[in-house]
Amino acid sequence: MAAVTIQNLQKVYGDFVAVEDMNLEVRDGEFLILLGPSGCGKTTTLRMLAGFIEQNTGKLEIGGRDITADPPYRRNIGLVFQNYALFPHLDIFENVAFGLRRRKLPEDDIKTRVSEALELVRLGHLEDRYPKQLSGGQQQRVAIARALAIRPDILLLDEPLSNLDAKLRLQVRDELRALQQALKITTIMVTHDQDEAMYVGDRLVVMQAGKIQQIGTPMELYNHPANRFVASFIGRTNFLAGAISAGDKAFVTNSGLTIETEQAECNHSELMVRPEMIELSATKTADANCFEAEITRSVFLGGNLEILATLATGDAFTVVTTIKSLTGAGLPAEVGSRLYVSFNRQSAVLM
Amino acid sequence: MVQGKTLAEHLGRLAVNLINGVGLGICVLPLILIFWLSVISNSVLSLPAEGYTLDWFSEVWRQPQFIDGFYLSAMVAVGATIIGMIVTIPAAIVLVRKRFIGRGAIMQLLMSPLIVPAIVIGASLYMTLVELEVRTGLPATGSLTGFIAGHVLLTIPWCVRLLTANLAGLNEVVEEAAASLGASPFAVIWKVTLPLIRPGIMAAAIFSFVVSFGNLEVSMFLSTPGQLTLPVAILQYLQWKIDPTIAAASVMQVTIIGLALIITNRFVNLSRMV
Ligand SMILES: Nc1ncnc2c1ncn2[C@@H]1O[C@H](COP(=O)(O)OP(=O)(O)O)[C@@H](O)[C@H]1O
Ligand SMILES: [Mg+2]
Repeated sequence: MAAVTIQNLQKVYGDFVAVEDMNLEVRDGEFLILLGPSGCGKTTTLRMLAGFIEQNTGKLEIGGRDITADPPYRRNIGLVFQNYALFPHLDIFENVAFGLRRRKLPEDDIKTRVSEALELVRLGHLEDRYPKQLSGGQQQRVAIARALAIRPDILLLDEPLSNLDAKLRLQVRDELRALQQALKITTIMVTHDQDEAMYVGDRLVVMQAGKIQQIGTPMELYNHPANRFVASFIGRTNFLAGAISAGDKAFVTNSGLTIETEQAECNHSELMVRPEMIELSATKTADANCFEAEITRSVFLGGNLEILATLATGDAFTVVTTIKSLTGAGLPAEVGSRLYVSFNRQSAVLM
Repeated sequence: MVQGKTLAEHLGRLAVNLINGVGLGICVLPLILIFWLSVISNSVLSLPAEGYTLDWFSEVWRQPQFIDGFYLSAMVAVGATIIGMIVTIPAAIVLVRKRFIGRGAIMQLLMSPLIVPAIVIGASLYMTLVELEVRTGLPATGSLTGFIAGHVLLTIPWCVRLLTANLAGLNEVVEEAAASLGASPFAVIWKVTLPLIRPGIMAAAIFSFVVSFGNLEVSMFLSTPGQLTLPVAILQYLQWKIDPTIAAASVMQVTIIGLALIITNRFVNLSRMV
């Protein structure tokens, strides 16, 4: 178990910057997620940590130990790959024992630690099978057991759930989270799936084009996105283009709608409102921002409803609400019905 | 209309089967002929058969040059196979796993004996070895070492081809997983890479054996009186006597090569490897 420090890490391919001057502190016992669209440099970062890609510049530390110059086999890092990467010629026991044999442990210790590791992922009964005889979910759990058996300082996972079907993905995801909580092992996981990231991560590192855009808890990223990219990548958002009207704490959209906010810095040209922060009602509310609108689209999502409410100015808000709150307010969810959209000042965030 | 179409289909299928059958026949005909000729009782290799006998097989055993030739061929083939593997396994791993300048050139160089006619290789080897004998006074032609050196040239391209194909199909991630678990580069090769390319190694070894065992062109130049491989011994026998003994000797050679290929096929699907 150890904290990880990444300093000025950089990787360049020709004149293409895959990872740009990255600085990151991963706390001891933390579950950290590298999140971002495909090609943003997540895998490159992880592989530099594991020692398979040589960085152009930068320093890497695990638990205060400088590993920058260490080869992969001396880093004591547990690694889990997207396609499991089990040894097809070895049975499950020998797969998990592989790292222990490299460490020349006595046979008895190997037996104990393999059993322990396989028990962690509840696959103790499959010791004699070969990887090909296991399902994808079982193979990935073996891969996790194999990585944990060496008692690594940190655990790295690159899209570990992407090859699993939807149902299994949720199951292995839950197990992974529970396991990490129980062992308190410092873990860095790469994913492009926002839900997955928010579900398992203590903190998320949002990356784009080789650069860290923002680091924070899921809640922080949702409520206070640092920029438009983070706002659109984490959760869903209504963006409105416009400008701060001089003097007041108000934002005027390009179509002339005035929205009251808490902030008043002038250098913002965009305002964001989360769909979940908007309330629908039959009558005018006391909220600072309340506008009359018409439902122009209504999508039933089972429990939730996604409604597009369009104002007379042409501005439109996507609103996510529950059936219960709609019927409670006596509102028909049909296209064409008129209602009020409202949200408070805090929910109108300048970008 | 419909009937015409099915007729065309029938004809097409018939044509394909016919071509396949003729092709296969042409391939197997020499084999059948050799087996047949080895059991006819004519004292000269000719048709029609006057009767049938297995005497020619015992005749082979009475000819010392066939027995010695068989023994020498086997020794050379085993030696060339072992040395060829020792050279090409590391070469194939480096060629597939590393990117370096001149990689393509080295690959071409290793494959080049396939392009040069074997008889040219034999002739040039002969000249080189004779030169070596003159300079050092050591016997090079007719020596086991000389034969093996010559035959390794023939086995290398096959080994490189088979091993690189097998290695390229191997997912590198598995090797990375091994390294992350603490395996040194040597341990990765020993514990993961080599076990995983075992089919390729088996195929390469058996192919080497077959290529060397059946080779005539190179061996012809390297042979000295009393030091003949089986194919050269058969050729020499043919020069003064044409009787079914050579057919019987050929049957024995074909059987050994055939067995080798059948064994290989148990380990790897040959039609997919070559
Ligand atoms: N060996 C390479 N040569 C050139 N470009 C590369 C190489 N490896 C990765 N890249 C580029 O670097 C970028 C980041 O890749 P990667 O870290 O794999 O992204 P991801 O976030 O999807 O894991 C991609 O645009 C990719 O095309
Ligand atoms: Mg990736």
